[in-house]
Amino acid sequence: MTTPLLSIEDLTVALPGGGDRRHAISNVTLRLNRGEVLCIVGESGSGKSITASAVMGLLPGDQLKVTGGQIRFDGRNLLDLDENAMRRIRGDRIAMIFQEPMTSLNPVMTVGRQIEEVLETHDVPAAERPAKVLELARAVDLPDPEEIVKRYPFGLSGGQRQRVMIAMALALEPDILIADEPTTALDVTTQAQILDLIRNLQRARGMGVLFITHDFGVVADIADRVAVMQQGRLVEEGPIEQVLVRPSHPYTQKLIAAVPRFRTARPEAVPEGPLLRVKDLTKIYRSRRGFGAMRETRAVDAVSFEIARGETLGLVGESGSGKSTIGQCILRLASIDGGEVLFDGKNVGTLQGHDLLAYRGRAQMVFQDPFASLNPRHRVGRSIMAGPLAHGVPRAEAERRMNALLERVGLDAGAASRFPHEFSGGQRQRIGIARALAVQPDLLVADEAVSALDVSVQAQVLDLLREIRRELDLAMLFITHDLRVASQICDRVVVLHQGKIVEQGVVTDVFGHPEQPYTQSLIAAVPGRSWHGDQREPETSNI
Amino acid sequence: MMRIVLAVALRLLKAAAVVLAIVLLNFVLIRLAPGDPASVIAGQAGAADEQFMAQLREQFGLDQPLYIQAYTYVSGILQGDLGYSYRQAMPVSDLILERLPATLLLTGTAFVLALVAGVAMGAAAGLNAGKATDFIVSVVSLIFYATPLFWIGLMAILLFSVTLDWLPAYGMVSTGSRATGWARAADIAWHLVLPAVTLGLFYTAVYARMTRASILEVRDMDFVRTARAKGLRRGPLIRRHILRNALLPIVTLAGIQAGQLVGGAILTETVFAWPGIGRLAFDALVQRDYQVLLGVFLITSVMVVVFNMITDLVYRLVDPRIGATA
Amino acid sequence: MNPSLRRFLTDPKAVIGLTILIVTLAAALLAPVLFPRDPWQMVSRPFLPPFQDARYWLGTDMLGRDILAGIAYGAQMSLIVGVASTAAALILGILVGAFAGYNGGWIDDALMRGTEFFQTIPTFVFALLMVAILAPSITSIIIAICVVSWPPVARLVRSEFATLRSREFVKAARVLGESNSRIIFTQILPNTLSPVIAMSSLMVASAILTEAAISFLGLGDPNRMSWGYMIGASRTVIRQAWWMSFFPGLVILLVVLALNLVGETLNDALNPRLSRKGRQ
Repeated sequence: MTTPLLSIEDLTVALPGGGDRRHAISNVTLRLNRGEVLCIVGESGSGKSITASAVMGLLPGDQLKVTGGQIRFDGRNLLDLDENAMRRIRGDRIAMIFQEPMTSLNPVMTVGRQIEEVLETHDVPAAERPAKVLELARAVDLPDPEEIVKRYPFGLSGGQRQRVMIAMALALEPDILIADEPTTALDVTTQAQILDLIRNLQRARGMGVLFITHDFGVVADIADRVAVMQQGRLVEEGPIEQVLVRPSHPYTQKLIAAVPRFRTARPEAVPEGPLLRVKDLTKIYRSRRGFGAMRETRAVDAVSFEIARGETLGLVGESGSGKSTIGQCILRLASIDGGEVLFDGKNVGTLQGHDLLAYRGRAQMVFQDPFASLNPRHRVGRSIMAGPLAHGVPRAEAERRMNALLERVGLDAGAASRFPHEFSGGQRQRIGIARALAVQPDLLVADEAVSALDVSVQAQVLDLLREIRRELDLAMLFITHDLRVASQICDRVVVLHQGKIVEQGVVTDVFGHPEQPYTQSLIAAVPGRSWHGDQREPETSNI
Repeated sequence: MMRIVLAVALRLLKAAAVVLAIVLLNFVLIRLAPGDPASVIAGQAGAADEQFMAQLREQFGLDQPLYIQAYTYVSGILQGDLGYSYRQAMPVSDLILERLPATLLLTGTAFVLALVAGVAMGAAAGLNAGKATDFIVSVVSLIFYATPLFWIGLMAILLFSVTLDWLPAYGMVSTGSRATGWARAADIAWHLVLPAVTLGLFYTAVYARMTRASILEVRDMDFVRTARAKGLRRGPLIRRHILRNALLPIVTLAGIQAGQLVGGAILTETVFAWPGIGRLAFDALVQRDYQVLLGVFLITSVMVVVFNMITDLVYRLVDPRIGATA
Repeated sequence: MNPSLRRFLTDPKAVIGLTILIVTLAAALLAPVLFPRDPWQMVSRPFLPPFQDARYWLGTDMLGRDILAGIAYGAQMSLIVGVASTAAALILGILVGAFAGYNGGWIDDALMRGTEFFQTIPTFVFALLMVAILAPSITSIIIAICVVSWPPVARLVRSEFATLRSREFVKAARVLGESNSRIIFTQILPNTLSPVIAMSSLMVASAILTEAAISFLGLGDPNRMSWGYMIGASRTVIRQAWWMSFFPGLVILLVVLALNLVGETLNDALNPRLSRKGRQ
């Protein structure tokens, strides 16, 4: 057996005292071979990122300490190296890219200079550097390399910034590239491009890649081998064909079962008569750029659709598509600049006073961020009862509704007297749903309601939303960037791009046989599509 | 290029608006005072005679409607007429211009001292957070921050002039000195030490705290982690990535704070008998010479506005992000 | 016990600060009991040095007045001015900041331009001018300090409001149909108070410094003993009688230091993750 490029043996990292867990990761053993992509996959708190940081020697030393094990690279234990020796390895032999491209570059240094810094710090002669910087910019497919290296990061898109990060990482042709969720913050089409880029560069240069992700779709697209982590422990490891298709550990099986997939069964026919009718809705944002000149952005441009009771309509699109703005307009969180929103025949845009309050009793919202959507200083019971009380429901009745709803969303009655920070993300999202339902609405707008949740929790919350919609015969507007999630829960979908509708229709038609090129490109970019397409036998041609 | 010209023009316009507002505020203050505005302007002590009062009433058009009075007042000031000090028998603008260089020298020196010392202390503390250096800097800046300026000035005189006889306690030049050129400059510098250090202490603490906080914030940012992942040495990492980003906001904040130095100058100049506009203001306070006080307020405000404008433009030059979004 | 409160009370910095403040408060309250005679009255020979007469152990001034009594009565002035002007500035600042931050748009623009204006003008000169023109008294000093110290509160509250306004739980409250005033007072305001509380302690400190400086320049309330006045009055005799200005100044230093310590620890205790020290 050949020596692995990198081997992590029995690695244990301690958490600071006082927490509910003693170790961030314990006894993790992994090896990375030359020329392979090893994916570490896990939910939040699994310790996957900590493992990556430990290899780079970038753990925040005052909070996390390695207490056991070895990280062997190039015949040495990296944990034994002093800071200076480790520094020489970083950026030269082992390089790393991170999740947030928007904040990972120094805002006051040109991107060319930041790429050059890697060369400079590892003693590449000054005369060779400019040409090398341009060559790198070209290698990561940055447009107009000569010009772009003179720009500052704020002028670049998220995808371009991530390409700059990759250029820096590849500058000295490292043996190992560590990629910590490098595409999580990107739109799906950009994600597909960056994954392609990493995969191509890896193959061309024969690097070993340690790729950290939470998304099994991404795993399916890029991995050669997969390691699954749960709460700081490695639960399963093996070649991709094995782990994705015949997972042996129950946790892996559960995770894979929870991954949302494209649905093929056509949804039931939708009942007649829309509850909500959106006609030519337009929203314009004005921002002052420079002096006097107002810049207008049509965030939503003449969008029309309808939703009936008992139906779930999906609004899907990438960032900047206007999907969230439409939700805000419908709920009067944003003003309407053109067109109409008709609810039960009434124009929502002009409602005032008592009529507006009555409307608020019938149209509700579930928000994205389970940590920001509940007032941290209010007990859960108070948050849920606030709605009914604002609508003049007697306190006893509000309390009765609250208890019934807590039970319905799967929380015990004691939850009412606790504060939000005592709950997990999934539980908070359930509380958010209970709060919206407490006023007994007819329309529920869910804005990225499961996007911030781990995949197993995501599946449970989706189930809950689906059940509730059926039980209460709600009309639901489901806003999401994730086509797989939309496919799971929606009856019909509207695909948006830069404020305009690209196409709309029954979900299985739109996603199964997209007519517009944009929709086709979106669907093609969904990670792990080949794997979804055929569960029993993953496509192995691109591995 | 066009952008920069526009930015400067806009900034000038804003500064002009602020100055105009201050002049109006002056007018409101005079009207707020109890009693006849003429007697307020002339001074309450009653040294003014009837003829002068009548002249004042006419000059300010006190029998006219309020808005005309305001107009008369504002246009007078905009033409450089800050009024006449009856007590000093001199136009207020002459009085102030005569004293202005001394104050500029004092506040300028104190500002540079405070900025250099404060940023150095704050950087040392922020980069060594949690260690002994940090603790010492925190304690020292806390004490500087809490010390009354006028009191520490007096104590400094007591120690360095009275007891040790190292440094002069009063004035700007030695009495009877006829020195010129470099000798005179050295004499002034010698006299400048105590007042400038005294005035700078509080602001040293302010800048040290700001710098420390800013460094702690920047230190944990993602791009610093990126720089470490590139294998950067500690020196360039601190200089190019941490300090460059941490000190940028200090430029603007320092500018805002620096304006308040002028207020401190009144106290310092009073304690050290420094012949600047602060000392002038103190004398005017004692004599209730409101024309002079209002003049000092206006001039110090203009100094602040000019200073803020300069720091704003400096910030524009050093931060690439501003030029693009503005 | 509330974890924030426990964090606060177990911090040695807070313990030192609170002890000094409690002693000062006691001195202010008990001054008429401890020193039944008027602090302006001559009690012993002038220029009595400290630690010589057990009855007047901080000595007397040039008119034979008891320095220690002056300090005790001066504490009343400092605390009243510090607390009253801060309270007034907090109310004004919170109202302006909340209104600007919650409404946004041109209301926000207009109010913030005004706030910036009051921050631009040299505050101490402006405060002096106001006291001089309104005639020196405790009321005019409180008004003057309030007028120059509300802008930072307004800016802080405004930025908190502007952030919280777009926070999801506030949007949820709007969608649920809660009224604007209810959202401001029950959803947003309680979440902005921690930094405001920490800031208020520092504001009392700077108000005490400002009052001392005003009194030092001879614009204090002529009917009330004040630390700044004691230092200002003894300025000319500093070569003969160092103690006359040394002790009142030391007391100002200690009280202001104590308030800063309390403010800092409050800040750390209330915002454990995000310390805003030194930021305005």
